Amino acid sequence: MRGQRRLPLEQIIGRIDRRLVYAGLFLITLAPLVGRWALPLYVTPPPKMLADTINALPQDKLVFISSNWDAGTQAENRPQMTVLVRHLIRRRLKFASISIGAPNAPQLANAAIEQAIQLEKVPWVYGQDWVNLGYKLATEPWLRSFVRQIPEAVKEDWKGTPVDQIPVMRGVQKFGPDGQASMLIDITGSATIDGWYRYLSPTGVKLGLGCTAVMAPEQYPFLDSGQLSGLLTGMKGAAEYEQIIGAQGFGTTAMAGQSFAHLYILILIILGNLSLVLGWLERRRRRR
Amino acid sequence: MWTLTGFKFILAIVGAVAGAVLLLAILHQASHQVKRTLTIALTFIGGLFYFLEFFIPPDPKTEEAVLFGWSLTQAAEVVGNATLVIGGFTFLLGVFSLVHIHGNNVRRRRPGWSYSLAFFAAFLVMTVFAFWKDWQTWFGGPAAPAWVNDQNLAHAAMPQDVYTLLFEGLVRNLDATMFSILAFYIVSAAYRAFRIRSGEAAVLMVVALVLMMGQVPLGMALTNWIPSDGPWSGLRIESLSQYVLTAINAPVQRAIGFGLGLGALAMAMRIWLSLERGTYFGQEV
Amino acid sequence: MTSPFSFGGAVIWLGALATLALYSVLYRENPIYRFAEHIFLGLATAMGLYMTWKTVLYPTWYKELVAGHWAWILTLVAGGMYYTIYSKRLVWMSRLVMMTMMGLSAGLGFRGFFGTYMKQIGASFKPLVVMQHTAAGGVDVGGSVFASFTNILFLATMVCVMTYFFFSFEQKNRPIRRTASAGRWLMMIAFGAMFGSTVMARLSLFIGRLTFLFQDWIHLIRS
Repeated sequence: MRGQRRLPLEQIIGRIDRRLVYAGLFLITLAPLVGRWALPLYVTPPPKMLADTINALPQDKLVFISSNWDAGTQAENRPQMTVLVRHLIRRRLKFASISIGAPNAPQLANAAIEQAIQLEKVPWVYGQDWVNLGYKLATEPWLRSFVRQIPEAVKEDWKGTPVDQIPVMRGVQKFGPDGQASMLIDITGSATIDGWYRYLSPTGVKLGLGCTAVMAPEQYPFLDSGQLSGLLTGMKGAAEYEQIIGAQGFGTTAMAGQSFAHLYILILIILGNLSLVLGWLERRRRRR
Repeated sequence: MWTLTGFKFILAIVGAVAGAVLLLAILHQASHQVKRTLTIALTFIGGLFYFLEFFIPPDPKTEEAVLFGWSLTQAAEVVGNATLVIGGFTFLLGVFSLVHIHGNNVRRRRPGWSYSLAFFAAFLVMTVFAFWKDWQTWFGGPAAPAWVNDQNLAHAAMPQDVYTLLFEGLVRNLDATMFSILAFYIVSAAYRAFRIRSGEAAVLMVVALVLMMGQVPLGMALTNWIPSDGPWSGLRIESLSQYVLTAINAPVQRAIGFGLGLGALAMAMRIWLSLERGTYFGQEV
Repeated sequence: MTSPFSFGGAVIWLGALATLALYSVLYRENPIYRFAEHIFLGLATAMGLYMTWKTVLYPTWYKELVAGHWAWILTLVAGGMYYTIYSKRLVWMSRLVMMTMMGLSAGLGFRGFFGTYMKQIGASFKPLVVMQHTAAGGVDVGGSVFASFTNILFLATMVCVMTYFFFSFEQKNRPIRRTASAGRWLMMIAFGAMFGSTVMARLSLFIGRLTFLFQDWIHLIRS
């Protein structure tokens, strides 16, 4: 139309309405999930290390899962929890879940464990093969007491049943080579692993971690020093672990959505910078 | 002496509270200097307790730190529980503050006061149904009806009561959604603010992009034409991103960690020895 | 779509409507979002109260007290001292109890430092020359060079970043200034990695919500 000034290209690509950007993210992430587009995933060393550690655990000792995630990070931590429990069940390793990071965590952990048992289709009996020890506020003294003498720190399960009446907990006194608990895996959306580093790590007990992707880069020094025996990074870590043990789950499906969302962000960053460069070129042209 | 029943128990409770209040009342009359000295002394003793408990070599048999025949390790458990309980009592401080703010909003009919009413309604409903559910377990009395505490084993996975409806239906979903909204903001920020304006920003962006693509199957597909076990496998995007994480990110994080750790240690020393200055440390009380 | 006329269905519907109410802010600020936000605040505060009683005060305090351990009542007095923060005259009591708690935390700080960082200090002493061997027993030259380079890079990065944070004296010396500057650039690489991971984390949470809405609620995604 005559009289209407055409917007320069850098303004068109540099000022897309945020709602359009949001709508794009929504559609681009949803499409692969609806279409169930399966993409091959390469397994990185940290989850492989965790799987190898679990494969080497003795079957007569208990594994502790410190389930410290709640609704806020369930999308990342729940698939980690489910796939790890599936692996433990396949290896016939009895386990105890204990929460120190979020008061709601035992309820969510229970649902994830039940789901894993259902997916594995084996009888894995509460009390005999696994137990949910509920939530304990992780003060420094409690952590110390838990590492030193488990029954002193944990007296009942999440429903109030005394631990000496729970078969899977009978005789479980402490961690370590002469103890009855072989490993602790922290699945967390907060900084609970710091407590385990402080108290469990000096005892030489195997420590595994499934954390949100935000937290993962900070954990690599601990992987390097051997304080961690393996690491799952967010949903991707769960997907890799599903691949390692050959158990497709939520993580694998979700990675397609994650892939396209990353591609979308990459395009947006390029567009943003392109508009910056075009604007700069335009200003230089005008100055001349 | 520490465990009493019946009348003696009630007498001990009343006596302990009265004694504590009397002591505080006497201290209240004391000068600022006395109060300050007392604060410094208690801070020092508190720190010294755990300091000794950590540095005294444990008895090889009992694995406990013992000082003059007194097991510091066992005492630490009691002290730990006491601090836990004292901390628990302070939770009401936060509740009090929220109730105060929203109460004022409603009382003065400030703009948006109806939202404060919604806050109170949600707070009251959840408090009532959560406490009612477990009331009998804690304090005895009549059992709550099934719609308040569903104990039907057939519903073990999801009890059909009001608390579960509120928790599973609202709390869990609202919590997860609040966190997930950040995805939109980070996308918007990546588009609007992530601009290369310096060399450092360029490095940050390139690494971020390699990481983002190296962590997802679609990114991995970009370089999957490179054999995964040959000498060039290190050039695959997932290998590059893993290398950045282990060879550069890890030492950076470790160095930052050392800085933080030493800083925290120095801060702990300053607090312990009352060398710190500021609102809670140097000012008159 | 899930029917709302069962308990499980009602839970899903309630969750879906709450999710949509919060997402409505993405379009623009509106009363529905504000209402949902305040409902969340109220519910979360009540949950905090309930969980504090259930997991801390009931098992550690109330149960001990009713078992006849009368001295536990003193923790109520100490907890009550925190509340004097609102009174100008009595505020010294809150400082007394706060500082005692801080003293205790400071004492625990020693254990925290040694427990977390001692192993890390040990692990930082990496060999600068690494010899790797092939399956046949010979020296793997390529592998050895690469492993040695990685260790040198690791150490150099650590030293550079630590130098950057060395504030005890002014960094006038040129080599130190350059090392610190390299530390800043290397930190940018780590921050890039952190940004990439943060993006991944936030998107995972969004995917979790999409799965709830389109799998559990309206069954568009097949499970």
